[in-house]
Amino acid sequence: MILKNNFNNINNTTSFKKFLDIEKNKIFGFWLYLMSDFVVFATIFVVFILMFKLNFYNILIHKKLISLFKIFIETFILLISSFFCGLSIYSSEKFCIKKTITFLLITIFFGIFFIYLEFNELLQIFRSGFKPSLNGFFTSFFTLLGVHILHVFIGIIWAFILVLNIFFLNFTKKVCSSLICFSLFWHFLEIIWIFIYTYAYLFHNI
Amino acid sequence: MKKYFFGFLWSLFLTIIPFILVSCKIFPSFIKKCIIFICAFIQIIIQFRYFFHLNFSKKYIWIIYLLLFTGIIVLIIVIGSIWIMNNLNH
Repeated sequence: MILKNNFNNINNTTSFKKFLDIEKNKIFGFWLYLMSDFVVFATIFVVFILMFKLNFYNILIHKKLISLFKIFIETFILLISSFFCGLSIYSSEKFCIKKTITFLLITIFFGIFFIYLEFNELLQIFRSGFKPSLNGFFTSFFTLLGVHILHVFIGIIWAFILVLNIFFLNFTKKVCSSLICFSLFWHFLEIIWIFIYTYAYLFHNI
Repeated sequence: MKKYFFGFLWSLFLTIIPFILVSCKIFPSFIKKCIIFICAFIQIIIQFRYFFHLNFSKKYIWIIYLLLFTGIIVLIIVIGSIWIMNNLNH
């Protein structure tokens, strides 16, 4: 009964897919934002690629400040959080509040874990004397990873606000479209992380 | 529901392969780079298909056009920058 009262122009016989058709302009608009963000990441990434020629990356490996095992754990954690984000969308299609909130909280937990590991690694490199102001390579290194961590952090804040929204307002039209946009954002961050770890950590550790 | 599990397991598999490849020293380095690149490429396509539910149907075709357009812009930026910086006369 609560769900019926909170829908504008949607009754229980309308499926979630038809709801998506009504909101498809918002979703397309959010895809436009994600593409602009992709271009921003691409420019930072190009500077990072060009700065590799300075050969400072070998110092980081030589001093054992970058460990492949940690990067693998971080990738695995981001993948798990993406998976649970997808599950929360799946359970929101069935309008199941408990499951959606549970899966969103698990996504937030793994996101916080990822930020903790990544931030710790950057802090270790910083404390060893390799500051962003040292040379161009470290500036681009810290910028690329820092911008990615910032995006994940803002995604976590968004997910937390979504949890509060679903808990207090149930599935209104705005909350549903916000949830879909959040899942697009979170999967987009996963894809950016694939680019980052493939180039930064794998290509040059061979 | 099955799609999410499928996508997750394939992504995990395609993530483990490059990490194992990097730590073993059997293959020459160029082949390893190619395999890692191909694994990343396939993983991105799998994530687009199973996490974003993108396909070539009429419903998502404008998003595919967006991706293609942004991909072209990004390729111009990336390849152009690398090419120009490689051809400076020092």
